[in-house]
Amino acid sequence: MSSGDLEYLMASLPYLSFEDSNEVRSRVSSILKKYTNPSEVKKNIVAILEEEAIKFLTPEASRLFCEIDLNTIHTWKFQRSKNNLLADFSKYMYNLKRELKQLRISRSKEDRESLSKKQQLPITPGNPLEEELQLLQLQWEKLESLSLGHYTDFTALITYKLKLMLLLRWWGFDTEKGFELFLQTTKKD
Amino acid sequence: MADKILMNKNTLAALKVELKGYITALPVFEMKEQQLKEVVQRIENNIVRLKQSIAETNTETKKWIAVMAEETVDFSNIVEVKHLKTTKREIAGVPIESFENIVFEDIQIDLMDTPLWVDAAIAVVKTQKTNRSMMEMEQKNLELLQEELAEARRMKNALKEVFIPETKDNIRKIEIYLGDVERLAIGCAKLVKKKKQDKTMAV
Repeated sequence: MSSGDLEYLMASLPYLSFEDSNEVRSRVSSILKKYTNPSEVKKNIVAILEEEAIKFLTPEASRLFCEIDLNTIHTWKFQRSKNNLLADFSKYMYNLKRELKQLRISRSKEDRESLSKKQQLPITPGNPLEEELQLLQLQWEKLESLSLGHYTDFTALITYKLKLMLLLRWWGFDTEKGFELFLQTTKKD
Repeated sequence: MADKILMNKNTLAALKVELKGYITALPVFEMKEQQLKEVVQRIENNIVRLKQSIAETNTETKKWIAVMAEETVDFSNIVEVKHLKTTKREIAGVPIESFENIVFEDIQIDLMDTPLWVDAAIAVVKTQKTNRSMMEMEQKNLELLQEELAEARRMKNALKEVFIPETKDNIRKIEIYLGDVERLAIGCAKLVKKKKQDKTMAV
């Protein structure tokens, strides 16, 4: 992998910021979809990014890059990664998930006193959507701080993929679809 | 009732017994109707309250339910009703069910692998399923009670508007007829007696 190639790739990717609007969504999606065949326009944009990125990566780096997933980022495999950002973010996610688990256990017991004492997460209690957005923002900010100084290297590309996945998760929150699913679930016996 | 009645003392006695039965039965049906009306009203209010509660929960949930579009968990498997406990009781002879509690399958979710919002979603799905189960039960009760109420009302109206007035009318007709027959018999007897007296005097 040459840094020059990655520099070219990083420069051609759409800029990501922690925001949600139709304009941002369509900008990111349309730029990334330019990398794929017109017949594959419905392809997941993370898959498009992976396909494009592996052209510039070594097989080992490609495999690692494709394995990165928000659902498994906290696992031991990533915590031991040779890539410092990946290892640090993985540990951060593991700790975050552990704290969230604690919070959920306390909430289920309705033990408000111990809840306020044990509450270490910097999130303000709100409705589930507000809390999820706060968590996404925390992860985004963590990635920002971990990736300082990385602009065109493999670490920057990993950061980009993680940020894109965070945004896609946020953008996937859909009131109509969610409500329809909710109604279906409540009507089922 | 439309049948031709026999104008005799036996029929009159039978009709009087019938009338007594109708007069005794009328307050029973009136009371039954009253009791059923009260219960039906109470159940209708319950249904309105439950519908309102479901609608309010839906409105409140809609503010954050966007997260549920993230299909990480299959809620139909997680929030499954184990059993609905009800007690049976009778209202004016109608067996109806009263809600006791609802028990959901105790399915543990992985707190590390599922998002935070899942807990709130499970809680609200349970609330709505409970409300819906209660509403379905009340609607079944309402159906049964309304059927019985209609029957009690039909019976009360039939007694009040048809059976009692018609029986009274038939009794009156028979009494008039029997009175006429009696008067005619007395008249005839008097006439025969007079004729006999006239005959004796002529001899």
